[in-house]
Amino acid sequence: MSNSTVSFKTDLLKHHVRYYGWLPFCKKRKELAQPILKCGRHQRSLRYFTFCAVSAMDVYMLNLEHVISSDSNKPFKNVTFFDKNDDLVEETKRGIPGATGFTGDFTKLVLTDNDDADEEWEGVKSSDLLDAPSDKPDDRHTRKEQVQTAKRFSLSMSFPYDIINLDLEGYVFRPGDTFPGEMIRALRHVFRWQRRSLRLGIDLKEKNFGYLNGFTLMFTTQVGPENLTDEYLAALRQIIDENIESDEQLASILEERTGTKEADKLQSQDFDEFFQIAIPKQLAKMLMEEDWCVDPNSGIRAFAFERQYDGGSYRMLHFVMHVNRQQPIRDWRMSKDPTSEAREQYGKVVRKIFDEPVDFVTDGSLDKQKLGEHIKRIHSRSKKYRV
Amino acid sequence: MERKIRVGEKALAHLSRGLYRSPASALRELVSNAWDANATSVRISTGYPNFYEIRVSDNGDGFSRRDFETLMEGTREEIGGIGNSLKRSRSVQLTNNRQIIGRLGIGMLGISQFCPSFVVTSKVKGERGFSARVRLYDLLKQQLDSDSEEIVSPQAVDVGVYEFVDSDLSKVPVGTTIYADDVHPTFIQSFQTSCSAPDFEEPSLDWSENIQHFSRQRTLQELGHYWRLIWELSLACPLPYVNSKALPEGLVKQDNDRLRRYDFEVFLDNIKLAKPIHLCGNEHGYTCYAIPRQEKRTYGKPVCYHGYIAVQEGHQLQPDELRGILIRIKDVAIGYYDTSMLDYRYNEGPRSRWVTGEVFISDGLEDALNLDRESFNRFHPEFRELQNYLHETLQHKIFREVYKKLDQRSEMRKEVRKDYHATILREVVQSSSEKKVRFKSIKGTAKDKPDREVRVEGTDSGMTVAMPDVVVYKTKKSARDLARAIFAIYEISQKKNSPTERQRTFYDLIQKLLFRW
Repeated sequence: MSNSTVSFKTDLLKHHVRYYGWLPFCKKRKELAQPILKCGRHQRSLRYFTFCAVSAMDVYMLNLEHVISSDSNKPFKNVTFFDKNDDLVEETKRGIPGATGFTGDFTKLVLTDNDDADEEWEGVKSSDLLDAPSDKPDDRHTRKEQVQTAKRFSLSMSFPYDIINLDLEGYVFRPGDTFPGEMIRALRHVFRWQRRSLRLGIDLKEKNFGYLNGFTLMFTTQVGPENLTDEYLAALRQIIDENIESDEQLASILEERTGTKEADKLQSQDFDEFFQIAIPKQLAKMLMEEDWCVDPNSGIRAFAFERQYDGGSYRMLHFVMHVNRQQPIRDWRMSKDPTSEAREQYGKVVRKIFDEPVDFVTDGSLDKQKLGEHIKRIHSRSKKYRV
Repeated sequence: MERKIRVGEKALAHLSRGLYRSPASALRELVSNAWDANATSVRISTGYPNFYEIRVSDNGDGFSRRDFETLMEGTREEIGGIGNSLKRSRSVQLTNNRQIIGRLGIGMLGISQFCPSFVVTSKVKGERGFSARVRLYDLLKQQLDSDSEEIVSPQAVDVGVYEFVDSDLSKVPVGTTIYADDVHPTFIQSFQTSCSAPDFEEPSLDWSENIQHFSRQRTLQELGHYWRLIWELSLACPLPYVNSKALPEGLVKQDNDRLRRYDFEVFLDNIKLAKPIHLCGNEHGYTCYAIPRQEKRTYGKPVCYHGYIAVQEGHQLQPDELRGILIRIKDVAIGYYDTSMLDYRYNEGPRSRWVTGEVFISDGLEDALNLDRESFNRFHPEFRELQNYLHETLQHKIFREVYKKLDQRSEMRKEVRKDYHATILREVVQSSSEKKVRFKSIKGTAKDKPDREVRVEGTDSGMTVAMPDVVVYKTKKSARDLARAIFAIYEISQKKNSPTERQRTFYDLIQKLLFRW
């Protein structure tokens, strides 16, 4: 999702996050994924889903660093991206040829009236959804319905991915959104879709690579909005309170870090800190509910920086984490609740979130030379591929 | 008293429902529009592999909001509206010696065949630009047939609506973009299905690899819709060849240079298109004929053309779609290769499947074009002029040469076969004799009635087998070598001492011979 006021091609604050946050995690993901990249004789590459901007800096970076490999025919065929409008999608495709682009509003595409719609798609192909209906006229309304359903299907069937980068650029909770918020609901679908087994066409045949046992998630959001309703605030406070209730030591850790052990006081005294603590917990909790769990060894690495604009400043938060599938997977368990091991790991992750402060990046803390050189290499890479 | 015949507006309105045979034809029209607008680059995005949106953008001159209104509705000052192209009514100078392609201004509606609603964005240099949503009516045929008052009036027939859309066009470059986001589900389904077939191979960004892929297919139907779209579009558009040696003997070098000078590129899903033709490496070579520039006149009108015909000797062209003659008017293909070769009346058997050719019309034949720009009125005098020339050339020059080469190859094959049979006989006979066996020929023809017998003479050092020319034997030609070989074996076996030995030797040698023959 693009923000036209910042040049992502050269912005060092953002690149610090890419270089020190995203890149090490993605390289680790490549290492962790090695055993599952094979299906018999066939090898696949890592698959990457991103909300990259037109500059596609993250894509080029991962290509430069050999995390996502190029296919000589279609260099970025393992990349799927989303953008707001067709101009941006087209421009991005020129930059990363072979990538699949989806146009439009991500949440509007992902969400339907029926949150269990995915369950009905077993054995369905997207072309089936486009069959001419016997009882409806060939008009715009009918066509739009068909195509929207098929498009959603195509997006969902493109999952799972080894690395997912949800770089929102805006707010995770949008003004006017009904609780729990469209993006949160959409994320649940994404985590559900990640549970699918991976089937790819290789050498003219479909190969089943099985379920992913893990993936890497990057998540970016702006802190706010300022007028977040009580419903949302209450939900975020509840997450912190729940954690504290389940682990006594967390209260003292929180107090040591923020000066208070009460979520509501934290919210009123330091909203940014409150948000920075609550959001990753929200993510970790959602993942656990969807049969995943954040890896407790690496935890959730968090970065933040401020951006200035005419009216003031705003804060961006970046999270990156490894996510593991609960074992045995939900389909093979009697109970659909999270496993005890997952709960335990969740507890450890939560403690780390309390324990480890956000890496606050400022202009003064940047290694400008190193980052600048790396950016130059990425720009050279982009020139190599642009059509 | 003479009276006028009018064509009803409904006729044209029906045309807007569907004029083109394939999506490639509709896209070709948009490419032609871009050409006419002096674009140097056209980018088509099909949304592959999902095909939910189609986008065609060019960096041409664009057109103004007023021109668009005139195109859509017509005004009192300018007779516009769909079908009344402004391109021909105004004198327009195109860049790089290009000639105007489009003539009726219905090209833009071509895309509506598979996408009834789309957004047109266009910007002229120095102007703000505009964006408009165009929406053709659903169920148009029913409304036309029933003379629905909503769309049929005494003055005109409405086929849809359009409205200007407020958008920030400050960053939009000069040119035109058509963004089709209401692609028909049937179109999407067809293309998705073709790309998910088990044997589907992804097209390459390297055009020469795509040409190789085309040439491995017997017919393009085997490749599915998406590959067909690539083929048809690359064939139809005024594009260069993959290189100057795309055809043998430099047949297209000059045309390729000319096409490159137009400075016009078309990309489909980031694949840079070129003509999908590359003939090389045929075992028996090619018969090539460069059609020199012809300047004729029919009923006072000029008909000028040049081109080439190439015959792939001994092998059927692949894919099938490359067979026949393709006519280009101003470098834009009219339909596909015509396998009838403009209704060539002689049956050349399988040789006709070896022929491919292109004719570049630089003047004339536009009046002979049918409305879809994919076929001709076969009885138009200008078409007949071209047809007569081509048929004359095919019959008296091309196929004459082809048959000559065919005979030469046939003779060569006979010689090779003869040598081969002689070698087998020699080896079989030698294998059964401890002495050296020598073969020699007895010259003669059937007319002289010479001896048909094979003579075998044995000496201490070896055996000599004297064999007459095969022509003395009254058998089918293909059986003569075998007949002589059998007689030779008979005579050789007769030299054995006892009947038993003679019989055994005969049986043994005949079996060996026939096993290897």
